[in-house]
Amino acid sequence: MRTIPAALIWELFSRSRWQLLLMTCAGSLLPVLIYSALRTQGALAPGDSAFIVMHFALVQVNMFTFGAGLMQSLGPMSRLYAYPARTSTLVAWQLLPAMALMMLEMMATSAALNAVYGVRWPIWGPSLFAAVALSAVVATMWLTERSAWLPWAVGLVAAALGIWLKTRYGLLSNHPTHYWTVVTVWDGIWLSLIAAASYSVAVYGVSRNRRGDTWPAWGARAWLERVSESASRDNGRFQSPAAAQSWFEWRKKGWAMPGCVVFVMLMGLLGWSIFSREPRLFIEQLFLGGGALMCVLGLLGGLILGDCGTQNYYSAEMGHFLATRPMSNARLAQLMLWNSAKSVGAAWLLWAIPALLLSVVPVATGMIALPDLDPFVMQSWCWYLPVALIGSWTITTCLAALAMTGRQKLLFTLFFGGFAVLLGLNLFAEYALSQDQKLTFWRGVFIGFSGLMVLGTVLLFAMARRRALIGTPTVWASLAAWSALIAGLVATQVNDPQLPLAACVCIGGMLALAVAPFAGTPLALAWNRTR
Amino acid sequence: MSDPFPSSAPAVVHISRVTRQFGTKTALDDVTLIVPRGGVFGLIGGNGAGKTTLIKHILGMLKPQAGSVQVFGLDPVANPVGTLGRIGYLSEDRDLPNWMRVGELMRYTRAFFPNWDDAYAEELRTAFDLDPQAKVQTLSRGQRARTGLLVALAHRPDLLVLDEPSSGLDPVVRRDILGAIIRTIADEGRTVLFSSHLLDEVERVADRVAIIHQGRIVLTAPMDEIKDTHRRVTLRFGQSLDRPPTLVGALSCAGGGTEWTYICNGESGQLRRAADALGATVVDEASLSLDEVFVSRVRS
Repeated sequence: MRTIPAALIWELFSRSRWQLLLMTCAGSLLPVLIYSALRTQGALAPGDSAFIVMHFALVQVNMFTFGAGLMQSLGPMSRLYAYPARTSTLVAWQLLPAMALMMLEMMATSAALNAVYGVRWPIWGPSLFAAVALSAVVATMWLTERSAWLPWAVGLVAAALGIWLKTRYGLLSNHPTHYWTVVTVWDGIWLSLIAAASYSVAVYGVSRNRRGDTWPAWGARAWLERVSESASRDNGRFQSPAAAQSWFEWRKKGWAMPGCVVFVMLMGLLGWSIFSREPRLFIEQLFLGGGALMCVLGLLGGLILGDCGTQNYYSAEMGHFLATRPMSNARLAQLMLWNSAKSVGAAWLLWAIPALLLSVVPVATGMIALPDLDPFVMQSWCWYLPVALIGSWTITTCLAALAMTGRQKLLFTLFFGGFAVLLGLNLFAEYALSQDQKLTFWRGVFIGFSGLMVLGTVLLFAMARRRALIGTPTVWASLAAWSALIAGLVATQVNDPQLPLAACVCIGGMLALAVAPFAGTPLALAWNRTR
Repeated sequence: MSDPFPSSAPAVVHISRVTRQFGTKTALDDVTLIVPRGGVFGLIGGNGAGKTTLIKHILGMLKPQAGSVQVFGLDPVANPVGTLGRIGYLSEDRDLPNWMRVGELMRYTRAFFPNWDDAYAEELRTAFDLDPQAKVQTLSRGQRARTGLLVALAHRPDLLVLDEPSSGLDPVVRRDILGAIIRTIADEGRTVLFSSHLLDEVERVADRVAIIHQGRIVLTAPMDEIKDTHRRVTLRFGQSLDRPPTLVGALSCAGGGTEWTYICNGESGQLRRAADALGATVVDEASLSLDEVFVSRVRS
């Protein structure tokens, strides 16, 4: 390595190649799942306005996923401060390769989806935007590094970029109406200006951090800390180790999911009050969007709640502090699971109560009349709310149990393996089977998947029981809970049979995952604690 | 010399033929070690010798691939409550939750240990000059070590385990740590196990020492015995020699011509008799520091 740029690029690639590959798969997983399902049902219609909305959302998911991976791969800028290089050089050779990777990933993903599904995703516009947006967000993060302004500044920049992107797909106040197929000269000028401004901001921010200057706090942070302290200060003793550990779990991780729900709902409310102010949209977004948010947050919440690693290293391996608590694995796992339950429950209540009070009740009682309201809202609320809770619980706790193993390779393998299997099945069905055979094949896959879920859950319970990590009452209670969920599913189908049998069997199998964490969590914890 | 059963006192830690591999690297190779109750046990070794791996086995964070570990007569993996409840531990990386305040950390840790001594904790906090409102994240390296030491000591553990406690710390903090070790053993029957590669510290406070090198215990003995039985002897021979003659108990040798200096393991009388047998005169004899013993043992 003869030059600084070469060294920095080599470091980025060698450090993060697998992670970036994983993030590419993660970002593409959702479109692959959705488009595969739609194609199976023969409902793939890229020209439809719903597909434009879907593209607009999915492209942002991809951008966020890969961008997050890239930002983590860039690592702390402070590690480069001691190098004999100008700040502008360091910034340029951190930003440029990251932007190039971001753009290439977006282009490759869009091209691949277009080739496989024929969905007409535009290549250039979103890819250029993603690269520029990454530079703007990273620059803002460097500017506000280690200050309380960071989340606010990043939120503001992301919102501004989101608004600009939205205008490329039609009017700001409407759903996206067309694809961003042509990058105009003005688009190019805007993107260049944002990139140039980002570079300048980044150089300024990094220079300031490099010489040790800090942001003025204006007392806001100290005031916030005083307020939160006076609210949470409790000098009394914990009544038991379990009480202390519960406090620890909630303070460290538990509040994250409810906090995210509040934040997203407030942002949504702000966006709605600025751009729409249409009651129908408010109700639909609060009700339907909130349910989806609960499940998506489960992905984030699971990783947070299952994190047992130290705060000092990029490792999920359990740190000495937690590992040396004089507490059995079974008890520690119970407390972590209880913390997950509190977190998911609080997040759900924070969404479900406003959803009921502000949407379902006013419409049902005729307080407001909205003839064009999506009928799904009024028809489904009695099962939609509990299903959102069960879905969020299942996603959160299963992912938390996986994270609790402290083995990133396992997560990596499961994710990649699942993705590869899904892709393989899709390709096989697409190219090797006739239309009739496809239906039978996918039914078989669903039923097989369901069987695997049930078998895996049974195995987990057997292992946990054999290692005395759970008691017999837990096994029976879990079985009862699963039976109750199945009974609920059967009752719904008897009253209103909407789902095909194969889908019902698949859902029944997946419901086993709702109780799997009762055995999986202590096993995962024990596996992480003692290696 | 490498007697794995060095004391008649009941063992606090009993490690028997433990082997541990990480991939192709053998971190511990058939290690047998007993830490008797009472006193200070120093575990010394170079970087990567296996000290932390051994300590992790004692804490139940690693399961032996072969052999067994017992702490207070219990398996630390199967019974973490029974073992960890009697251990105070300060890790090398001072793993403490950054988001907690010092006062919160004390309140939280107190819940786990019925023997937590509030007065002693407060005494330590004052002595270590720790602000209970300070966030762990904002503490300096030395303050962090002191905070870790406070929560490890305040429940008056039967076994205090310190993994490289002085690593990277200034002399004042190092003195605090040594003071804490001395205070702990002042309590009847308490035991300190501490690993270090700062041998002057070990020499000052340890009663017994185990030297670990490349995953093997190469020496276990009381400190006095080590000093008594390791000597530097300079011999003068009647004629110039190209290579030094073999001396019983010699660990290493340097010199040339008629004068050769040996680092030996043996008592003074035995060494003199061995020198007489070679026809040499002892021109100088001195006891060794632990540092010299360690280097000679590791190199031999």
